[in-house]
Amino acid sequence: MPTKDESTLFEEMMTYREDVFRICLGFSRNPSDAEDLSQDVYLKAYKNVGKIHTPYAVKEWLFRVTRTTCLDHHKKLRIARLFQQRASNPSGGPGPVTPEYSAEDNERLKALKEAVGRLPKKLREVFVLREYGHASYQELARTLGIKEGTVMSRLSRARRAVANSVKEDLHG
Amino acid sequence: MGEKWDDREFKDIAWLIREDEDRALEIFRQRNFDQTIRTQVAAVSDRKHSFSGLSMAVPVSVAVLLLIALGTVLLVTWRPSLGPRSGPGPIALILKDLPGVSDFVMPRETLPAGAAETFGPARTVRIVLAMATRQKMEEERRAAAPTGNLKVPRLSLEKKMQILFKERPIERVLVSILKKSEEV
Repeated sequence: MPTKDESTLFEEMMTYREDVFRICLGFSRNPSDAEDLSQDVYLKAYKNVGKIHTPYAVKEWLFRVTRTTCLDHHKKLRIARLFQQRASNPSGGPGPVTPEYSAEDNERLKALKEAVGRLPKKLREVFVLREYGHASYQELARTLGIKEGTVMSRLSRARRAVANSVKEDLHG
Repeated sequence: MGEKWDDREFKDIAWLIREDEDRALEIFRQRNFDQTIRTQVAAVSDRKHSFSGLSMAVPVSVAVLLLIALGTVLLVTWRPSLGPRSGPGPIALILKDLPGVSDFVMPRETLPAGAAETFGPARTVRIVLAMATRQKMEEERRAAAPTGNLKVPRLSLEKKMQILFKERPIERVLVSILKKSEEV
């Protein structure tokens, strides 16, 4: 059971639930998955709340937990999809489109999600934490353990890559 | 959005992200996420409690069993709570039966003062010391005894001749060996 201080920290974490959900959305590109991931994040946070040594950095700590949870989920999903593809399409061609994606009526939104998904891990985490999590450069640097300059350069590259990818998808 | 992208190209992307967020958040806000999390946290907390109780019970029971085993061993080996034993212990009984050792096994009455009340290594040391002292005293007494008191049996001439006669073959063998060696 968390102590009084830990309960206070957890309550503080709960105020960032929409930020956490948005980051999960950015990583998962699916509202339903994002909600499940947010629940996982908060359960992990509850279990490890005693490990926070700097209470002023709760937001960064929570974002770090969110990032790790989402990346782990992405890794598991990729492995699962790989097996699914091999089972349904042994020749190794493109797999079937999930019903959620096929139901998406907004082509631009779909293009955006796919563009974010195509980003390399380092660029994707900076992009999602900044554009979906609304984290500042300083918070991003603390969360990812990198310099602010690195954050800015990665973010710039990520934005350019997403913009180019969306443009290509929409305009051929 | 926290930041407006300067480039017009990126503004389109920012608008898309905002729309994506708005749609998802609309659903998210209807779900009562707060309540779900608190329920799950309470469940985890309960599980943690039951697990901590179980995790405490296992080492405690193991420790109790070990203590019982240790206590039993000590009781069988030393029997400290039974007071002074009326007879010799099992090891002493075995030693007593062994030839040569029985002379050294001292009766309880002859132990030094306080030896009977003690147990364990201290008692053993005391017994050994007492036995050594007794043996030494015995030797000293024998050495100090006047020789006149010792009765040397007088042998008759016939007995002496018998002894010599018995040693005769040995003498013969020795003489023959000596002769051979001289010849060589």
